[in-house]
Amino acid sequence: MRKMILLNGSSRREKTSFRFAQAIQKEAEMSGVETEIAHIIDAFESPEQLDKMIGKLEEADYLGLVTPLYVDYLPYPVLWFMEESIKREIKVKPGAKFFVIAQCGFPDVRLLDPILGACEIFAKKMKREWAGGIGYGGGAILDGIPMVELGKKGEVIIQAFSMMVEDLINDQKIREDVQREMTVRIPQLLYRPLAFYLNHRSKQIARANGVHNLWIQPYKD
Amino acid sequence: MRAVILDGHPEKNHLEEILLEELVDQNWKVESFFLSEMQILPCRSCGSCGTKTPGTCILKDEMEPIFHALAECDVMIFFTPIQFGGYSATLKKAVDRLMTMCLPLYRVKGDHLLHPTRYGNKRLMGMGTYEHCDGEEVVNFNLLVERNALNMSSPTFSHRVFCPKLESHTVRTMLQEMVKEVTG
Repeated sequence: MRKMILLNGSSRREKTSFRFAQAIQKEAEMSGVETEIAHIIDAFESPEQLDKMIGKLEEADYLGLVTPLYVDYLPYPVLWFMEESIKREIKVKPGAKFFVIAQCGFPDVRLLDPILGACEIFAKKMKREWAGGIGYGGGAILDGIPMVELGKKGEVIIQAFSMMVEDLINDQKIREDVQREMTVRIPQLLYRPLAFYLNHRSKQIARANGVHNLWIQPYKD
Repeated sequence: MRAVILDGHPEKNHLEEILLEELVDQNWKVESFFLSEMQILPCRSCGSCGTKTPGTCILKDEMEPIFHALAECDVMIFFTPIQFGGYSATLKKAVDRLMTMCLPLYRVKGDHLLHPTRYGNKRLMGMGTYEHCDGEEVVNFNLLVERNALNMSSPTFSHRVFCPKLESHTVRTMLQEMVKEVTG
C-alpha cells in the first residue's frame, strides 16, 4: 500500500493548516493511500523526535507540506526541518513525490509564490519529484474550523483536494484546475469592507482582553 | 541613517566587514546582530502581540534588544546565506518575531491588504550569499525581499546576491548601489 505523510508546518496544532491536512488525509485514505499527519513542531522536542520524523520521510511515496505563510515566507520551524532533512542522506523511494499547500490570511494567493518556489527547490534537493504547489488565500476566515463544518466553502476545498489526490495517485503533476478551484476570488472593490470587518473583529477581541490601545510602541526609547 | 543588520549566517562572513565599512563611510549608524549566537525563541503565533499585549512579545529572550534597535532604525538589513531560494532558518526565526512590529489590523494599499507598521515604515536591504550569482534560488530570494518590502510598506528597498566569483571592487560597487537605492 502506498503511503502519504502530511507535514503540518504550523506552530499551532489544530488551526487551518491542520484542517487542510485532515481533509487531504480523508481523500487519500478513500483512495487507498495510508496517510499520516505529523506536526513539525513535535520534532523540536528532542533529537530522537527529529530523527523519528525524518525517518518517516523515507517511508513516504507522497510527502506533502501544509503550511501557513509567516512574514511572506515559510515559518521558521519548517525551514529548520528542511535544513535538517537535507543534512541527512535520506533514502527516497523511486518516484516519490513532494507537494505543498500554502495558506495565508491575505486574499491574494500570489503572496504565496516565494513559498511555492522554495518548496520546488527543496523537492529537487531531496531528489523527490515536484508534484506542484497550491496556494489558498483568505485562510484567516476559516479560523481552524474543520472543512466539513464550513458549508459550501468547505465543499469547494474538499473537491479541490480530491482532484489533487487523484492527480498524485495517477502519477501526474497537480493540475491547474485545483488552484483555480481553491482560489478565493475577492474583488478589489471589497478589500476596504473586508479590512473594515477584520479590523472590527481585531478591536473586539482586544476589548474582550481589556486592551483599548492597539497602537502603543513599547520598544521605542 | 540608522541601520540594523540581522545576520543569519552560521559563521561570520567577511562581506559584513565590507558592508560596515561602506555604511560607516556614508555616516550611517549601524547595529549588527549575529543571530546564530543569540538565544532567540521561535514565534508561537499566539497572537498576544496583537490583541493581548499589543506590540510586546511575551517570549523573553535576546530579541528584546533587536526590537528596540528596529523600532529606532531607518533601514533593516537582512543578511543571509540563501537556502532553498530564501532566508536561512536562523534569520527567519528572528524575522518571524517581527510580527510584533505590526498592528493586528489591515489597510488597503493599491491592490493589496497590508498590516500597518507600528514604528513607521523601514527601508529594506536584502543581501544574500550563495554559490552562484544567478539561477532559480536567486530569483526566488529577490522575490521574497520584494514581498517583504511590500508588506512592510518599505518606501525603498534593494536586493543583491553575492557569490564567491565576485571580485572585491565589484562587491563594493554593488553595496554602494544598494545604499543608493535604499536612500532614494
